[in-house]
Amino acid sequence: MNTLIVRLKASFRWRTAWFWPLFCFMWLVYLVSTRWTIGAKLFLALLSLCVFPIIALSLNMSNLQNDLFGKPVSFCLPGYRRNLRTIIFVDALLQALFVPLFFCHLNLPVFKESGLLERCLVASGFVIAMMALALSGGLRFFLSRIAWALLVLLTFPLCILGYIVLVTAFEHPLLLWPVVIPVCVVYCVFVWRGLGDIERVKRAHRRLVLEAAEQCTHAGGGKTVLPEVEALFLSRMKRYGYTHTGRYIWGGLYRAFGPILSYWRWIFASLLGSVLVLGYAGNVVQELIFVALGSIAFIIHLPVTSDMLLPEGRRERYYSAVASACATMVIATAAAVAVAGLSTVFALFMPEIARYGLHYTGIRLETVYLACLLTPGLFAFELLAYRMPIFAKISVYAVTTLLVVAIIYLDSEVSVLPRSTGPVLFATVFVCGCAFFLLVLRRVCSKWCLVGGKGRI
Amino acid sequence: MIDANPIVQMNGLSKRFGKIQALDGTSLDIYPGRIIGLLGANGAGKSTLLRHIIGLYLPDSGQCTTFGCDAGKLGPEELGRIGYVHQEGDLLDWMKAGQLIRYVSTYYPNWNRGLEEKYIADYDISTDARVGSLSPGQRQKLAILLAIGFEPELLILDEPAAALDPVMRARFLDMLLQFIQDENRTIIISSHILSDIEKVVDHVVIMKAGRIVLDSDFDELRERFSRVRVSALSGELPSELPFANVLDSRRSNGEAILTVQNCSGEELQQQAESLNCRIDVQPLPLEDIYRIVVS
Repeated sequence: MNTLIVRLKASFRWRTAWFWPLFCFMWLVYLVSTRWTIGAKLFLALLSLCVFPIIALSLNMSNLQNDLFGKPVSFCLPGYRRNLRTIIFVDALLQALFVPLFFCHLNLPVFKESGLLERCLVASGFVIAMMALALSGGLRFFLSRIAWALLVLLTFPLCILGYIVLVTAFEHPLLLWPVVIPVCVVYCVFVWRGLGDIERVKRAHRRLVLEAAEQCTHAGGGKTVLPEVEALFLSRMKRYGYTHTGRYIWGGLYRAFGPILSYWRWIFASLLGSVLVLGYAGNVVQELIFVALGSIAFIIHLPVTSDMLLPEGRRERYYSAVASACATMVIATAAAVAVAGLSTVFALFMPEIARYGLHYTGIRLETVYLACLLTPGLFAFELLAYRMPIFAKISVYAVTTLLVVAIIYLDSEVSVLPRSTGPVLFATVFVCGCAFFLLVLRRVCSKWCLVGGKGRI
Repeated sequence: MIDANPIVQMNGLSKRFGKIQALDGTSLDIYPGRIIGLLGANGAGKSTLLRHIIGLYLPDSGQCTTFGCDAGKLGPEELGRIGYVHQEGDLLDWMKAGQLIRYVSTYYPNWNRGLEEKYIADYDISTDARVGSLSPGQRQKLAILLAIGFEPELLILDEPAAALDPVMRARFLDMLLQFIQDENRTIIISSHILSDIEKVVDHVVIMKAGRIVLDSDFDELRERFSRVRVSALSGELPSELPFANVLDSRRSNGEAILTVQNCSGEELQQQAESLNCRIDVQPLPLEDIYRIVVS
């Protein structure tokens, strides 16, 4: 088994790695729903089932290659150094293949024709995507962790900028395309050659290893729980007796949310960034993003399966997990309320970019309940995951896909949940999800082994 | 002589994980005031057995009761009397060591701050370090502190010293001996470092393929198995040595080294005198006893 295959196999180990593919999937469905006729919609919805795992795999590879490369011994593995650029370009290729597909559905006058020029423009999507992906792949390797994190934060604004540049270029294809395409090709060649320079790769590898080593060995380094967060949870725990379930519920909440609350600055910045962008995105994207918020269930570890022995029995674990799941839904809804509220305020002064069809609209407050639509069901799958990881993963995607496709077909007014059927559909999905979660949790807490949390989604 | 009720009772415990029969009709009683060495090869079922005691695993059949309560129904009352260390056990990596100690101590009314401070000083634990950044040895020391800080009645140690250096291991064993001074306390220790276990245990349980193949007091075991060095008082050793219950026999330099079981010193001495030989009887090290039992 060569190094490339090993890395491909390792791609789906981490729970958080599934968040972005899920997001991409929803985006894909949105594109499909708004640009195709009903017949073609079904075709693309089915096609997306095949496309999605490939995109997910590719996205995981991009994250993984840097992490693996940060291991000191990795440089000694056979062919590892030379594999780097292959990984980056295979990764880019997998994603870029689907970009022309979306170019077909850009609602621009130039694509209404079907001449040679238009076909060339569609095909050029591949080259542009290769350039963008090679750029991100290369930067992921050469940038420091912090610089990369900042770049990720800038993704949404950069996407809008990219869209504006692209539309401008499409408006003057004969003028700009002879410049854009050669630049993209030359850049790809430049990245390919750059990543083939072993000395440069060695330098980058050394930096990554030093960075990783510093992070591991620096006493007190890395993000730890904030003293205020610790004091908050410990004081709540101490309000209850030693055998009172309340103490275990607050202890479980601390374990579930302590690390997340410690990143509150980043969370706040992300919320602010999303408010800026979502206002321009339109109803469906806004609502789908709220639905996708439910997937934060993937990053919350319910205090059920752990072999760090605390005096909490199966009963205490059950109540603690229920409390954590409820708290997750409340937090997701609160985040949605905050985003919707801020977007209403921003709508008063955000500029309208009419030329590119971008209008800032406040998010409807009545859609915020979507934020906890998927959460209970996803928690149930997370619990199932450690015993049946493959079943759980497949189920998550199957359910998500069916849900989103169903939502699209129920909707003819470009709204995820139409006002007439929305509450009923929401209530059905939510109640079923909660019932399923409680049944699974009860089963896990009364019958199953409580160790084995390592094989999570 | 057993004069107390067992704190853990297992009766016909079976557990299967897919195709693997991890426990196969295991029965075992654990009495207070003992240090029990649980031995077995990798995959013999030691960790599975220990996790049944604390209710992390539930049996497919059979019953396990701990402190008189069905292990699956253990609550804060009972679990607050049990400490547990697992070699690869979960700790909360995102906390500082000091924060983790504070967090865990919040669950126990009888957390001993004096013991905590002494342990931190003796074992050189950096409370400001992030748990995720600790070395395996430091992590293990921290896990041990979290398990003993509330002075549990039952301490379960699953490969507790594997990541410790020899000096720390020796200190750790001394600490276990101090810990057991209180006669209500019981320790179950599972380890592959038999030379260490030998110094502290007073009872031995050996497992093989999910079954208990030996459950005995260590003193009885040492009396049961012996190594006998036989040398001729004059001339050569006879080609046949008619000792009973010989498990293994080797000859070198005019001597024979026999491994025997269930033979008293007097019997051996009488037989040696009849053969005009001299014998030197030594108890067998635990490692050799283990090898004999599992083979």
